[in-house]
Amino acid sequence: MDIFLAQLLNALLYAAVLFLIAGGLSLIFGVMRIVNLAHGSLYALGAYVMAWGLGRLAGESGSEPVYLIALLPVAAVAVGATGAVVEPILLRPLYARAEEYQLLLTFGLLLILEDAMRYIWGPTPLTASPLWAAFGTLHLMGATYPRYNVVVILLGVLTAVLLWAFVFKTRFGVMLRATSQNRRMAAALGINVGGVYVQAFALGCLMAGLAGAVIVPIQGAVLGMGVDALVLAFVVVVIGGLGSLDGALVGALIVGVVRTVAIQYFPELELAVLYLIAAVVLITRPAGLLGRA
Amino acid sequence: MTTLLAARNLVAGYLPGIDILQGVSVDGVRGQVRCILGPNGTGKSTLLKVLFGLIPPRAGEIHLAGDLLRGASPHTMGRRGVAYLPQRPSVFPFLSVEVNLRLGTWSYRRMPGRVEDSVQRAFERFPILWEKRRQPAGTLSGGQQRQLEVARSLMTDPGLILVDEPTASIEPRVAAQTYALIKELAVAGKAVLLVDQNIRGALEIADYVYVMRTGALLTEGPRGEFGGDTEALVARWLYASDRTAGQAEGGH
Repeated sequence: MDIFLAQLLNALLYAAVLFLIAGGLSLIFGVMRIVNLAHGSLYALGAYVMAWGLGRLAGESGSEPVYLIALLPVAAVAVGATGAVVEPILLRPLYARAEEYQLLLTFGLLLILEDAMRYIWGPTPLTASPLWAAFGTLHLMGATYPRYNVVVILLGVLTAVLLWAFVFKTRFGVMLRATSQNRRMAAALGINVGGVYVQAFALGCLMAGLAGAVIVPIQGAVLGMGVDALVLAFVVVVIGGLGSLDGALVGALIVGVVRTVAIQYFPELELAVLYLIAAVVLITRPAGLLGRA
Repeated sequence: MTTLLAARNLVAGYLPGIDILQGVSVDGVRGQVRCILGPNGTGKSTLLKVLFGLIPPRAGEIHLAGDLLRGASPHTMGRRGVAYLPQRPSVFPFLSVEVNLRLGTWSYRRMPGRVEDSVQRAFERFPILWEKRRQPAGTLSGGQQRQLEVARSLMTDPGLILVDEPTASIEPRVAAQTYALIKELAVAGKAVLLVDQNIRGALEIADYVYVMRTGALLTEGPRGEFGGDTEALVARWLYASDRTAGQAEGGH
């Protein structure tokens, strides 16, 4: 029973982080029709900023849970701001061109950002595990579980609820959805589409940064973490449907559960099973489970 | 009758070096439906896009209510009382009918009183939209979607309405309703510029006719001047021998 509960929480933890990454990717694609390959590096950037900030704040001594509250917004906003700079300067000039140029550009950006992080923080991984330890453990129903992991799950749920409310219950959300469904008509009605693009891109990047920032106390900041996360985020959006937020949530839950089960019972096939599911979805429902064709 | 829009010698195109419009002049006059006829690929739709600020003209002038416009964008045109009904369905298919309608009030969204007022008036005028207000607009029939588009474009109480192929891919009965609706707008004092391939339908409501061919005006005049069998007349102009067309366009 206790193993089962711990594994369920692990699956949810994994799904929460994946939702943050894939949700941002999907949001950007949904509004702007851009597949942002740089998303992986933006996630890594969030992790590095968080780990670096924690090192500055706590030094070599112990860490306090309150640092999470202080640094999470800093890391997320730093990545969001990066997005707000990248969109108007690098992406906007390419909108009139074929999609391949956007893919090339965001892929180039992925590599450049990774090199920039290597240059700034060096090749040695940064750790933030003292913060993870500072949260202690939780005893529930006979199981012992890291309290920090539960915090991450709750953060994931909170972000999903806030994002849903934002997109479906606010005027800004109407603007986002209108732009996504018919950009030209949205502009014709007086919506500032350029402004919507910057904000949607920055918001998507902010979610990636948040994901990196919450994961770093658990697994550290390592070069290459961005590409790994990007690949899994693509599995999530392929399953759920690129451009759909519900799809990102459902896809993240599926990938989270499948991965946890796979690691428990047949670890050597973990990734293969995920790709197999993605392939089956692609063949049977090319737009994803909740995507619009 | 006041001339709201005066466009003079517009030149425009998409690719460098290729002009789709080669010096076109049209007017938008209050109380009139002015229709622009011509075969496929003559630049009729391009003309409307230039007038709405979607494509910048390479040469020529656009005067709106007496002011010379420079580098106007769609949302400045919208704010200045110009509405545009594009050819392809332009409702937001996954947003509800009501949200679609309310998006028409975007330019004065900070005036809640005026917003509610115009939404209510639109629902009174188009009862079917009230009935289906909670449905995603994409689930409406083609004719209802057209009504929604017209209703939405009227939310800003525009003086000039640019209409592109309003009845393309619409069943005939609905097409007649759509033309009647457009005529009503002009009768109510708005200036309408109508681009159409449906010569017969457009001529029935037109007050003034422009005939375009390969990027230039072939002829123009009040509807009455086109005589009784207008369709045959226009068809003869459109498909006239190259010699005649060449003269009218100033030669190639």
